[in-house]
Amino acid sequence: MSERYLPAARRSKLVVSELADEVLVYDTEAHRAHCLNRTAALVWKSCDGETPVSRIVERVGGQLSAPVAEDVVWLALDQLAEFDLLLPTAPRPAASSQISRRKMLRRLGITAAVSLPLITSIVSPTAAQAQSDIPCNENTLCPEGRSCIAGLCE
Amino acid sequence: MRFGVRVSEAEALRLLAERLPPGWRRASSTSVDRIFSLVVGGEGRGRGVRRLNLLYAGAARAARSRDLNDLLERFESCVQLYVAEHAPRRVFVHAGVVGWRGRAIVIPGRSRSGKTTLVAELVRAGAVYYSDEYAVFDGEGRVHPYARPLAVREGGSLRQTRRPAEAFGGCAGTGPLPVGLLVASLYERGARWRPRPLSPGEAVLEMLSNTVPARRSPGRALAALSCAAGTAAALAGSRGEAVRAAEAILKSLGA
Repeated sequence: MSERYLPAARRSKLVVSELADEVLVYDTEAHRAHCLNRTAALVWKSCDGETPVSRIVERVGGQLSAPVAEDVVWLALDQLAEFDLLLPTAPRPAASSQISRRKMLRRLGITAAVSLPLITSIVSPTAAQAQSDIPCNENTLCPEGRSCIAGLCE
Repeated sequence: MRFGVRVSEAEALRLLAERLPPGWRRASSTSVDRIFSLVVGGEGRGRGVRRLNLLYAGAARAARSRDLNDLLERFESCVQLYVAEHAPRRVFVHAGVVGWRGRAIVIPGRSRSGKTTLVAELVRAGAVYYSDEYAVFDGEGRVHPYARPLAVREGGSLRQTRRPAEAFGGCAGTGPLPVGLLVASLYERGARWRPRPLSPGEAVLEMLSNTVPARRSPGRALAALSCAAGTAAALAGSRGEAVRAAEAILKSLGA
C-alpha cells in the first residue's frame, strides 16, 4: 500500500530561498514562512509525485550519508502536509500512523536527533504590524490591520 | 520616493519637514507617490468655537485633533510606513541597530519589546547609533543607517520623547555595515540574558516576522535577509535590565 503513495511537493505560489543547510519557503497564499532543516528539505525535494516513500528513504539516506529510518521520512511528510507544502494526492496508507517528533526521539534515541526533520514556521506580518505603536484616540484612525486599544494603535 | 505636502498655513510646513524620514531631500518634480494635506485649526468664527486640526493622506482623513502634535506624529508614522513598505531597493525590518567594530548588531522586535532601551544602552557602551526603528537592508544584506532621534518612552507614558544619539554619549553611523550579530530579545522583568543560538534560517524568520514589506515583496525580502543572516551569528532569549544585556552582548563580540 505504501508503495502506491507517491507524495508530491507543492511548488506553486511559493517563494523558495536556499541556505547552506536549510531551505526557506514563503507561502504567498497563506502568508506564512517556513524554515525546513536539512532532512525536511531533502524529503520535500524528493517528493516528485513519482517516487514511493521507500525510495525517498534511500535517497535521503544517501544524501545525508547515514541510514535513515522510514519513520523519519513519514515524520517529515506529516510536517510538510501540516504546513500545506504537499499536494493533496491519494490518501496515505493506514500503516503510516502519525508520530510526534518527541516520540520518535525516544524511539530512535537522542543520537538520531541530528537527522530528524524540523519545520519552523511564522505568519508574516502586515506592514502596519511591523511598525512601532502609535498613540491614538477617538479622532485618529489607526492604520489598516491595527485598532485603537488603550490609547495605542495595536 | 516622492511625497507631496500641502498646508493651510506656511508655518506648518516647517513642522512637517521636521517629521520627514532621515535623509529626505527636496524634489523639483511635481509628480508624487502620495500627497498629504494638513489643515491647521484654531479659533473659529463664532465665540468659543475651535476648529480641529485635520490631516489627510490622499483623499482619506488620517486624523483630526485639537493637539497639532497628534497630527504631526501621525504624519511621521504614515510617511515612514509608506517608505518602509514601498521602497524599491531596500528591505525595512522593524528593528534597532547599532554598529560595533565595523559590523551591525540588529535587534528585531515588535513594538514595546525593549528595542530602543537596549539600543540606548549599547550606544552608552560605545556602539555607533544606526536606528531604533528600522534596519534598512540592501540587496547584499548590508544595513544602512536610519538614524532618526531615539524615541524614548519616559515615566510609563505612551507618548515618546525624541533624543539624539549624542544624548546617550554616542554618534550616528553614516555608511552601510554587514551584519555581525542578530539579537532576538524580549524584555522580561528579572530575566537573565541566557540566549540560545539560532540557525541562519531561524534568524531569517526572526527578521521576516518584523519585515514591513514581507507580504508585498517576499522574494526580495528573503533574498536580502538570507544574505544578511549568512554573515551573522544569531541569538534569542529573554533579557532583564538593558544595561546587563548590553554588557553581555558586547562581551560576546569580544568587548
